[in-house]
Amino acid sequence: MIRSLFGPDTKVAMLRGGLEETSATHRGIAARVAAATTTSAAGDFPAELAAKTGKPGRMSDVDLQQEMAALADTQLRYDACAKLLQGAYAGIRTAFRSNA
Amino acid sequence: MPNIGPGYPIWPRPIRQLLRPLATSAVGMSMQQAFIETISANIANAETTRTPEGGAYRRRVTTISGTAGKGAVTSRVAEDQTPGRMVYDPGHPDADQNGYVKMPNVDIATEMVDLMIARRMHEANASVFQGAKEMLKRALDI
Repeated sequence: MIRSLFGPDTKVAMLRGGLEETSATHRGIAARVAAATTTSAAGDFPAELAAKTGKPGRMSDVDLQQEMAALADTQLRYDACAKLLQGAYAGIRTAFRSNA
Repeated sequence: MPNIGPGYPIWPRPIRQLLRPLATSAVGMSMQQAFIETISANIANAETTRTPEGGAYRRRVTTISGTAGKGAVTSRVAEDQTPGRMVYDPGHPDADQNGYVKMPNVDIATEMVDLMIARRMHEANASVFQGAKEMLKRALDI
């Protein structure tokens, strides 16, 4: 009985999975945006430094617009999952109450 | 070498995972703050021809070691070794015997561009932080 309400094939479990997945995506976005710049300079100096030291220059390959779009998308997905999960839990709660 | 990001506090795993985007974005904002500090020092000293170390001020560049979101992040300030321009000003107290003054190797336009980039990156990190905060709030409403 409980398994049919909270088991792995239920709506609740799938929505929880969705929340975890969107959280992981958000963690990835946060890490990429935070690591997008590695030095304070945009002039020729970082390029020269990179050429001499063999280390990457000032900007990484992060596409900030793409990351921001992904952020908006992730937030919407997370909100949708959270709202649906809230509804699913509310339904279960109502069922418990009406059968009590 | 100042430590910018502490890595992450030792919280239980679920809490750590929930708060990780917040911590990562906070490290990102601290990094941009360090960049802005360096840029402001460069702009403030764009006309400094005499320093305690001797000679004109040299442009400073902050570089970051480590990756935000993956452990500790440290910053290092290096001096840009490109030579500064020579300005003919025989009346200047720091002029050489030929009347030339060695100016700092700071280009205000470059610094302003760097400042704009740092500001925008700070905003991007703040947006991600705000998003994480709202997601957490939404999760607490379930």
